[in-house]
Amino acid sequence: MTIFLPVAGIDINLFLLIGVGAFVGFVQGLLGSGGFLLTPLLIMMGVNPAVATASGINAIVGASVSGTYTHLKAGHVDVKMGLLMLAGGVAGGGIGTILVKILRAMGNLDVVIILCYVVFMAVIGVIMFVEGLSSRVKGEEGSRGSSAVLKWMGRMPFQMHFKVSDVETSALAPLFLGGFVGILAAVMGVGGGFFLIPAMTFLLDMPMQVVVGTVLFQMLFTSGSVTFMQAAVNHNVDAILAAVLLVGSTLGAQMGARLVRRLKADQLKVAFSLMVMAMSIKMLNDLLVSPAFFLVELGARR
Amino acid sequence: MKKGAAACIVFAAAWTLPALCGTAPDARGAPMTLHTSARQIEVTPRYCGELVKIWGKVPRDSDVIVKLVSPRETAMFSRKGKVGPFWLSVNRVRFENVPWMYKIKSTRPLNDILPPGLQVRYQLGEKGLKSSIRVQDGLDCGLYLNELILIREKDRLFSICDTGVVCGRGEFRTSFFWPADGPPGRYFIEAFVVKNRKIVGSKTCVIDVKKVGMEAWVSRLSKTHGILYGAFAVALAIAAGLSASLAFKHSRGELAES
Repeated sequence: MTIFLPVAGIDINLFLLIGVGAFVGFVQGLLGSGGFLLTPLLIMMGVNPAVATASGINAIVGASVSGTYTHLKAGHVDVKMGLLMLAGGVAGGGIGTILVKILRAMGNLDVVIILCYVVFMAVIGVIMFVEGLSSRVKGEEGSRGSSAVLKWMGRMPFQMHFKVSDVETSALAPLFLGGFVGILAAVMGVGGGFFLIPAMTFLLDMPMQVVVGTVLFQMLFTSGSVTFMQAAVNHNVDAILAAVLLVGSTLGAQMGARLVRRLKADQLKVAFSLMVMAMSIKMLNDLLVSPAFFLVELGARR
Repeated sequence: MKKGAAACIVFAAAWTLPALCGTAPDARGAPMTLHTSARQIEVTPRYCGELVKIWGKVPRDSDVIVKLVSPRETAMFSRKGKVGPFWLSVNRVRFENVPWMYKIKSTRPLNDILPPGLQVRYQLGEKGLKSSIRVQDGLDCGLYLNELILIREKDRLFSICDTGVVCGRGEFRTSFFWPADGPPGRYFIEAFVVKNRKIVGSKTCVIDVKKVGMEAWVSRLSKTHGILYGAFAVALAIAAGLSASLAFKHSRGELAES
């Protein structure tokens, strides 16, 4: 049974699409990260990279809404920090959206998106591989900020106090972190949790619970505004594609979260990291081999 | 009663519409008709391309050429070149007067039944197609036209076939496939009757490919009202996310932490 995606302009097997969403959600539920696989998988399935990234970020809106609500109710969201990150996120998202427009007009958007993923998945793959192998060793010392980094952060201008996180830091930190993931959200279609969660524990010394709540909070609003800007400027958001993926990923996330205690996460992490590295190598190879056609059509006919 | 009457009218319309395509005899008085199995192709969420059958009557012992063509427009391409280790788009190439879809079939190879001059004049076959497209000045015409045709053939938008029309006892039939990713729009089907290396009759018929229902609404909104569509996309995602997680009571938004 196929479904015709109105903006992507292609027909695709509905169950395959739900399956991809479920797989990504499952990995996410099981290992805590994996959402970044969505866009490369869509690209491999033949979705235009520009549509894949913008629809991916649209799906993240739906995926973060219930989590944000739960964390807000539990008081795990540092709203002041979140709003500063959001301000950076909207600015970064705007820059990213315009970057997408320029690169698309040049005809190089696809190459840039794929190249970003090659680098990104190689790094994530190596990190996960090491984590999976060494997780039995760690545990005695938490990964919270080292004193040298915190001292350096303390010398930055615009110091302010964040009550919920109970930290004193520069307002520039959340602004820049938000700005960076805003650009990533527009160009790559990722939420940025894989980067923000370690960065905020390490650079800002925030408690883990508040980090997760605050990241979800800013992710909901950043992905929402990036979806909005992409739709307004680049017309590349396929809301139907996003909705189908959401159904699949929610399903998969539930299964992953339920199985997490029964499966050996370390071994799965190693296996998964190998898969991510293999995908990175495949995409790099696609960039390096001479293309089948020396011309590429600009702009959609539909 | 009213329902029945409406159904009757629709039924009658379905019968008469193909006939409207043309039963009138051509200039020479030879009977020629052209029928298609669809006048309109509707793009719905279940759409996965459509095969349109084409048939009609022609004078006996003649050859038939059937062409499917869309309106022509300007097409912009970028040329890939090697920059360092990567293949990037290095400059732009402009083609004018390019149909987005062009398919042709005939009873026998075009060169056997029609002189090159007529192929060009009626824009038939590879020669006719190539001569009708203008390549940006200063470029190697042949090279770029070949590439353009190869790309469109890969997308199943172009096909130049030397056979494919079955003809006998004064009747011909053939079919064209619309790929699902072929753009909506107005398409023309032209049938030519060839005798003694001359075109002795022709008929044209229009087929509209239209997005309908949700498909039409979503794609129109996304193109013309980007801001409104953005709001719709965000609202749909929130609704889908909330309802999906309500369906599983213990959802804690694990997916979002990517």
